[in-house]
Amino acid sequence: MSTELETYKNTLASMTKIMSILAHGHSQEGLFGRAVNRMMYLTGEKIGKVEGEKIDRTSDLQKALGMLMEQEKGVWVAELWKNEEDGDYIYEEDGTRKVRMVFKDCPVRQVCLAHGTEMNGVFCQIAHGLFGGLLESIMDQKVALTAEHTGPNACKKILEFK
Amino acid sequence: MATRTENVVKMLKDLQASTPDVEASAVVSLDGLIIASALPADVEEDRMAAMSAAMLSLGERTSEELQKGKLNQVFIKGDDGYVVLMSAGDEAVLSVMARKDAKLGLLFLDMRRTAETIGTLF
Repeated sequence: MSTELETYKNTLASMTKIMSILAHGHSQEGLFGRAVNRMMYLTGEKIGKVEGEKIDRTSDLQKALGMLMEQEKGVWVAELWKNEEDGDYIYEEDGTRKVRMVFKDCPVRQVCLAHGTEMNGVFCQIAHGLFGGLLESIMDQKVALTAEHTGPNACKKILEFK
Repeated sequence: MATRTENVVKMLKDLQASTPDVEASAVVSLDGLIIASALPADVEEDRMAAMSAAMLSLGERTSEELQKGKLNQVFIKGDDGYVVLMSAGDEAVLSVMARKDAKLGLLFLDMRRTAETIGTLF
C-alpha cells in the first residue's frame, strides 16, 4: 500500500475515533444538560435544510426518501416500515401524523459499531437533524426524526410531520 | 378548563403586562423544547428554547464548579437589552427578554414570582 493511502487510512481511522467520542456525548451533557440533544438536532437540521436545496421537490414521502438516498449515494440505507396489521405506513398519534422508518445504515452507525460506542447519543441527534432537514427541504414540510430503538442490525426511528 | 400550556401563556402575558420592560418571554423544558411562549415573530422559537435550556445548565455547572452555590439566574447583557434565564421548578426554564433601560430589580422580582408559580405546574 502506498504511503499516501496509508496516511489517508490512518487519518480516517482517527477521525472515526474522534467522532465516536463526540457520539458518546457524556461531556457535552455534563455541561449543557439535557438540552444538548436538541441543540445538536437543530445544528444538523440547519445543514440538512441547506443541503436539501440541491435536491428536487416532492410531497411524496417514498419519492423523497428515494431522492435523498440517491443524492447521498449509499450513505443512508433507510426505508419506511409498518406493522403487519397496519394498512398504511402513516399513522396518527396524539393528533400528529407519524411514520416508522428502519435505518439499516447511516454514517453514525458505522462509527458506533466500529468503536463500540453506545447509539442514540448526541452524534445521532446531529444525524437525525441532518436527515430531517434534508427531508424537510425536499418535501417542504416541517418534520422531526427521533429514535424509537437502536440496535446492532438496524435502528427504528419515527418521523413526525409537524 | 384551561390546559397547563394555556395557564403558562396567561402567566407570561400577565408578566409582560405588569412589567413593561419585558419585551418577550418563554417557558422551555430542560430538554430544550418550548412549553409556552410570547415571542416576537422574528425569533426562532426552536433555537431560542434549546439555547435557553443549555445556557441555564451551563450556568448551573459554572456556579457549582466555582463554588458559588445554587444558581439564581443567568443574566445576559447586550447593547440592545437583556436576556434573563431562571429555573422554574425542576423541569422548566423561564426566559425573558427585556429592554436596555429595564429596571432590573423589578424585573428579577416579577420573574422570580412567575417562575415559582410556573414551577408548581411542572
